[in-house]
Amino acid sequence: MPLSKLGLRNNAYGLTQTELYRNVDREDPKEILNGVAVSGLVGILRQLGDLAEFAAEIFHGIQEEVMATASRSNQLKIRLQRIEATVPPLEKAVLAQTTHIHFAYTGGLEWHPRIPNQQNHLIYDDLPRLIMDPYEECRDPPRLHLLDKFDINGPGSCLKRYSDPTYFRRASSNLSQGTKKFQSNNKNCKIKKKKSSSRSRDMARLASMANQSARKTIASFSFSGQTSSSLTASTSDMEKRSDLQDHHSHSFDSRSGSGYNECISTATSSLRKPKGVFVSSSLTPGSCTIASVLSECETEDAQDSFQFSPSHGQAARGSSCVSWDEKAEIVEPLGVQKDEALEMMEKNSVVDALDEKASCGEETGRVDYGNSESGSQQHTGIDEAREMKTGLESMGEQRDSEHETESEGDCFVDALNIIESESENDQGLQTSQEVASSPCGVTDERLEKSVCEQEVESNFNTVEGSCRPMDEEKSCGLVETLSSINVSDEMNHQDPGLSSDIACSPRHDPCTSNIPGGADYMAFTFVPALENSSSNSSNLLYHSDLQEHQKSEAKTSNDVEAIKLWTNGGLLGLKPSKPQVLAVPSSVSSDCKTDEMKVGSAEAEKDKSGYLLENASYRHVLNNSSLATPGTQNLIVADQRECHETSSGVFGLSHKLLTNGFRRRDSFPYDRQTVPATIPENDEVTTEKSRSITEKTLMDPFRDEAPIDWITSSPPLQHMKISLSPVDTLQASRLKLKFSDGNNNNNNDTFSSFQLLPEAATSFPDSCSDDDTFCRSSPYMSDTDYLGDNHSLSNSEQWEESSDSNERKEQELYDSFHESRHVDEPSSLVIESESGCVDLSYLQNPAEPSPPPFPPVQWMVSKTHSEKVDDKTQSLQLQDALRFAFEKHISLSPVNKELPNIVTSPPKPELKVHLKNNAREEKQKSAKEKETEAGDFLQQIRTQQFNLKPVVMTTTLSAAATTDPAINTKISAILEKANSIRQAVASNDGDESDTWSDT
Amino acid sequence: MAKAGGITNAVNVGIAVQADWENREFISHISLNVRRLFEFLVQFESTTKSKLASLNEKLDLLERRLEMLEVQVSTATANPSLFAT
Repeated sequence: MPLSKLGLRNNAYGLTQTELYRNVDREDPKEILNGVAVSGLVGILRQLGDLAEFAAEIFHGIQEEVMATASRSNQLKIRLQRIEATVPPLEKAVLAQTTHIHFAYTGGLEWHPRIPNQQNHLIYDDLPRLIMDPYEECRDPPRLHLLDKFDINGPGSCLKRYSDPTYFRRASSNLSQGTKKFQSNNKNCKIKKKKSSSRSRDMARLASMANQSARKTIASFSFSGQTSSSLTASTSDMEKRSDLQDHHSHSFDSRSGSGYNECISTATSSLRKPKGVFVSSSLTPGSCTIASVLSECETEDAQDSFQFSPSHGQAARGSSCVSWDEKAEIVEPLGVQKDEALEMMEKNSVVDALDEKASCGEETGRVDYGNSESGSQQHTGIDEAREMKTGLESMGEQRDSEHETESEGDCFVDALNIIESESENDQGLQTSQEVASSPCGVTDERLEKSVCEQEVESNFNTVEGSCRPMDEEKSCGLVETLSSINVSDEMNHQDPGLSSDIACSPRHDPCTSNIPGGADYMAFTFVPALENSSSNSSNLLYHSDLQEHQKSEAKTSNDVEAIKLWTNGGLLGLKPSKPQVLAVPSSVSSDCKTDEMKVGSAEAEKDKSGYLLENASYRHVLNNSSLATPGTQNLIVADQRECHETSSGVFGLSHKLLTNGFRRRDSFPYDRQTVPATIPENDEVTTEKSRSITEKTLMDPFRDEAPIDWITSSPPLQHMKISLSPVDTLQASRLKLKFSDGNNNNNNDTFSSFQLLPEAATSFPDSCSDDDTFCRSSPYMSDTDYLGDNHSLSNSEQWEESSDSNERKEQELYDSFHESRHVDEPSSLVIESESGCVDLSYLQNPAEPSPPPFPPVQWMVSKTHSEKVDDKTQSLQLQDALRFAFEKHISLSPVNKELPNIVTSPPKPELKVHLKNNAREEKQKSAKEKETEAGDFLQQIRTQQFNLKPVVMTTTLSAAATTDPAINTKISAILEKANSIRQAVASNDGDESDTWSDT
Repeated sequence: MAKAGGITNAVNVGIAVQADWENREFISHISLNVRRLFEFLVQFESTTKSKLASLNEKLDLLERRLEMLEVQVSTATANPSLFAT
């Protein structure tokens, strides 16, 4: 819904003036009514007028859009016609090709998108109303055209001249040149020279703003209608024209101008200032890096001389080189001992602090430096420390100079200083403020202390150790200095004429790297940052160094990647480039090894150690070029140091991660080994668990609870042993099952139960006894064990509970076993007492082949009972029959001897059947019970046979003579019963599970 | 006379009031129609601009495609060696 541009006024009668019907004669109603009617008609007319205006506006807008669309469509049409004209020959050429496959290997089209930037996106017309109001409400520009008649160039020249910002920039530069010559001996000149490049950048931005404002003023001229159309031209055109008119502007005094001219001067003074600062910023890197050698006055003079001549930058560089040589000359002859050097360093630190606080000349500090540079082994650390210190000093000087700048309102406009300070804060450099927050003296002292430690130990490890006491303030200070230097370098890159001065800063690299032994690691981390910042600079030395270090990088590329991973993952809170942290330990370990090797070589050869250290440092720094923060590099130093300590953890999380990773890595194969292969389901479960844990470790490397849970989740084996030990009767089978795999490791805490339970489950049906309670309790036990173990493994956090439940369940199991034992023993006793042939001793020997299953207890008991009863009755009947036959035999003559065989044979099958039923039991009984019980039984049989022998001899004749049919029927009945029993036993073999489990 | 004059005056007043009512009705009708015209204009503008916007989008798409085609054609014409087999 578009916003309503126009609204129709509602009341038609209210649109008119009320005088139409109020100023009439009240006594004449017709007039009043006519007045009211006329007012209504007038209101309608006004509504129609509004409607017409609204319609005109709407149709105008629509017409514009339609015209634009039509023009676009026409352009499209024209372009399309052009393409149509060009396509047919191409089409012919393409169709003329025999094979089109080579088009697939051509480069295709060369896409060069034309991004037309024909119009400004932010022009003054687009400014918001709040900003445009002051321009509209301001006074008109002075009528400079009135002065044209006094000007040589004719009409419009005065307006061009006095509204040209470049003119004032040039005029102010000339004025500042004169004033700087006057102020060359004054300290206030330091202000401009020590300005950072960020400030110059801000000034450049302000210059553009000033141009913008100047352009606006020109535009305001155009509103006056008195100027030509050339006034609305861009400032570049104005600059070109002003260059031609520059020779006429010397006689101009900005102070004599009108208010408008004053405004222009304030705007153009901002252009004057960037010029000076821009020139002075070109020397800030030199002052940072060579400030220990160059005096401040030299730099001042150099700046004074360089300010309007960019070619002096090379001279400044040459002077810095000479100063380096001079320094070397100073250093070499002096052979002061270390103690003296330490004392001197401390004194220098104090003196420097005092110097900086008092903002005195740096010449004294420089002299102290020259005195303190003693010992060929020490000067490297000192120099590097001096570099850092001078960087800090330069920052402190910048700070002081900026304060002085703010205090001095003569040179610059206050508003511009405010804008500068704001812009500095906006650009996030914050160098001066943070340096101001941290006193430079304290940092210098700390730095000197670190340097002293370096001197005392003069070893790489000790150098690294000296890096330890560095506080965050100092590192921040270094970061600030580096950032300031980087910014200054960037600004110098913007100026091609002054970029040669940047070469001074990387020139330190070979100087420091060629110094053998005691190479300061901080310095190496310090310098490459400069290199990174000034990588665009054309410095051959720097490139040669880079080539060397690239060679060294090629040697140890794996280490590099490992370090990358470390730095990305641990330091800055960034995500590592590779989420798989599992690969980190190996790489890091290799890195540690290589570092150790390098350290060993460094200890062995001192000359090479510096080179190696240099390589290492450069490698670290170049790898971390994306980060490019010296703070991280210092941390990398600590990383390397702790890698030597094989703790492999600088960054807390990464250290933990690594340790955990090692643990897990050690534990994984171990766990996989401990997983028994005989348990497929549990094996799968555990492997899945292990996989999930590995995935967790991979995906969530910073989780530290996982290994702890993993360790605590495994149930102790002692617990299981204790729970199993009290079982006596079934313990043999159970323990046998437990150790059947041969994995009797005591460390198999986790899967001990898994080894036990399935075997128990499979063995219990085989080893099932006649006891019902045992048969019922064993699956229950196995179920509980399964549940308990699964619970303990699945819910590792609740292992305590599960262990308690396991204890309870094991106690229950133990109780159930005892109960089953208590139940078993009476039953077995009963069976033994009754039958004397039922033996459960085979349960204790599961190694033997499993016997055929037994019938249920009740049935078996009843059967044995019936058998026994039958046997008894049968024996009684036999005795009676034999007695009867014996009596007959006595009475008659015993002649036939074949009959006893016949007579004795019938009971023998019966006994054989009975023995066959009990033979299986007897085989599996213990030897004692066999001897006792079976011996008794056989003895009875023998006695019976022994008793029968004479009877047979006596009854043969009687049996043959008599052939008692009753005895034969009884024998046949006994045989039938035996057959039925055999069949019943055979049938019970088939449906074993049902009968045994149910009974 | 006075009575007749009073009557005529009253009649005239009544006629005037009636005419006034008619005038008011006329004015209200015209005002209402003006309002309708106003709403129609608003709706017309919105619909027209939306259609124009859609048309411009299509034109943008066509321009991009045409630019692509132009680049392709220019590349093909600039490299005649591609077709020299």
